[in-house]
Amino acid sequence: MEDKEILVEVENVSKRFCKDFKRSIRYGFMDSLRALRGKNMDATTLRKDEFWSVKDISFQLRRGECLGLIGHNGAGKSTLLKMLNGLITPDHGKIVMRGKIGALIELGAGFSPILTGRENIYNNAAVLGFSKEEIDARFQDIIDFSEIGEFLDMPVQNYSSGMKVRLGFAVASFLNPDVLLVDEVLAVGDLGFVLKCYKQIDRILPNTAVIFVSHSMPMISRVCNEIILMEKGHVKYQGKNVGKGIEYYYSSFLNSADCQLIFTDDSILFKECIFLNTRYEKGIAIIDWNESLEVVLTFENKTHKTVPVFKVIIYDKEQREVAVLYYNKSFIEELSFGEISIKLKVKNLQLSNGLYSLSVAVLEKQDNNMFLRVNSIAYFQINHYLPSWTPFLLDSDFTLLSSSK
Amino acid sequence: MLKETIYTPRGVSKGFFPFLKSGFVGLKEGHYLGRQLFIRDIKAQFRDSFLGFFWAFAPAFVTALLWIFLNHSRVISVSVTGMSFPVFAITGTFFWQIITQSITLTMGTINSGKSLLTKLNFPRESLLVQAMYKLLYNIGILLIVTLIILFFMGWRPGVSLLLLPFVIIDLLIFGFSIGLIFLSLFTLVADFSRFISIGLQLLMYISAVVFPVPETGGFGTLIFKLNPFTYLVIFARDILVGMPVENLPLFLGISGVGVILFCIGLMAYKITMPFIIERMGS
Repeated sequence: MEDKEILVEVENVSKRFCKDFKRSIRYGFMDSLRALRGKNMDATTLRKDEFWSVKDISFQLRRGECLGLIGHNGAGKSTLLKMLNGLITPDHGKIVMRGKIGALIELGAGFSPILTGRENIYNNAAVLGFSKEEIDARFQDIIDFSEIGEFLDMPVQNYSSGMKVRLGFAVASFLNPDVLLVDEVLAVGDLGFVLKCYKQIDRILPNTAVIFVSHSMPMISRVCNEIILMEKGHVKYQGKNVGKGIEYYYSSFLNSADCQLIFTDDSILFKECIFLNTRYEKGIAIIDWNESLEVVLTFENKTHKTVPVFKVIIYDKEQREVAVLYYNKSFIEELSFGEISIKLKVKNLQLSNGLYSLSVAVLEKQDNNMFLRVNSIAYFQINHYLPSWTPFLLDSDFTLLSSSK
Repeated sequence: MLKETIYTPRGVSKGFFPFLKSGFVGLKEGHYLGRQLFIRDIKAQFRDSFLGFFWAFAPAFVTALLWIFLNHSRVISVSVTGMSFPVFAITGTFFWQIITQSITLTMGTINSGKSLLTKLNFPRESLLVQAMYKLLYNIGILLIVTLIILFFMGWRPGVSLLLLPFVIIDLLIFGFSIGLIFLSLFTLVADFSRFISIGLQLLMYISAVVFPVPETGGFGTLIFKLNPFTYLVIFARDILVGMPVENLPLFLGISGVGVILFCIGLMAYKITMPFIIERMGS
């Protein structure tokens, strides 16, 4: 791996933008004049109304490596990608790109809606910098991959958005670029297509350096072997430990996604949720894998005399429902008004390493007549040395039954 | 060896002439793509249009017809020497169309390339090539139609017609360069595109397009004489109609200015393009 050539070199790259459009035009003209006089355009300070969209990013990427760029919206990922693609110039630092660059910044850019798919394949590839011969050689592959088939000679304006994405991806990825830049574009396709795209990325990856922007962490962890987490233009995490970077990314959402009251009819109110027999770090309970989850939920009961159903759901960091706690009513005989506390215990919790949240719903019967629903009442972290992207890490025994010599 | 591309915040440090040369190299590199984009546009243009060619020459003749009608019905009376008024008006609007189209089409082509510019990296000069092809195409059609009409009006080609291509190219370069120089304003500031359309209309009336330079002297004549387009139009018309040409040195001087403007325009395009793209967003 180490001896493969470096295709992308980024040194302390920064880019500033102006928040005020009219002022930005003025700066633009001032900068144009400076550029005309051959002045050094290197910028290390901000002018009025400016901010750093990307600040001091450095990395190197070799052939065969895939770098994931993650971060919140507006973290500067797309700006960085545009600089790598040469669409905008950095205000500071240096970028060196080697070889042919394929970019999927926006799929179908350059498609003329009124022309047919066939004509657009040639046009789009020409815009990407490929000659007619190169396109001819790959034409059939592109059509096969994009599954356009009978619609090849239909105007692109009548294509579904999925068809456009397929065609755009096929054109960009089948022309064997040395560096492939992929922005969050694959999300438009259906699952079958997304899987196909990953297969295609896997296929070209040994000969390509890929830079991949996505908000889908399972995709990032699936494809990338290096990761940069950006926050407001700065690097928050950079390294080969993809799992750790993704963990940082998830934990950065904690503050913004606190306890959300989804529904209440004011008959019962949620008070608090406390973890027992565990330690806290920054407000998050830490539970070792295969240990017990013990929680006390406190409510204020206003009107209920009969015992309602308490439904506690575990969500993972992607906000997918992972599990629901099995509920048996037998623990309470009668309900009093005022504060009530319920203790829950799950033994041998075998969720995989990662961050989870609890949501609670109070209903009259199972799945019927809701009184209260609160999301993200508490967070807990499962601790295990193995990073894993499946929700469960089940305790198992592996035994060797036979082995051939 | 792989092609290496380096992006840094450096300005134009290579010096004037190397930079200018890189502009021309870019035009050459962008030629294939530019032609491809032009073909795409032409194909697309005819696919959702029934009248096709008609739109390439309609605007010129509507203006000419209007003035011929006004003159014929004596609402206004314009007297021209050496040719009939219809010939005067048609040739005038023809050459004026060359100038206006070369300004607006250049800006328009690059403006409609916005989505390409902000999303893909390709030789930026290809859009210029595309605009040039479009211009030649439109003007070519306009020229053919104009010559046919003139022929039916009794005009016969003379020797001076050999000079016509040079004159047309001259006008094209002039308009094209002006378009390039003001491109950044046009794409970023909405006021400017409105200003252009009004300004060009106004300019037409002081460029001896549909009536000659007033002989009265004074302020009106002065405006005509200060306007370089007047000389371009008059000279071009004299060539086409086969009149003895006046002011040849002046015309050559203005042409020289055109070439210089073209170089300035090309450099302005190269310098301002990154700043424009940054501000266009995606």
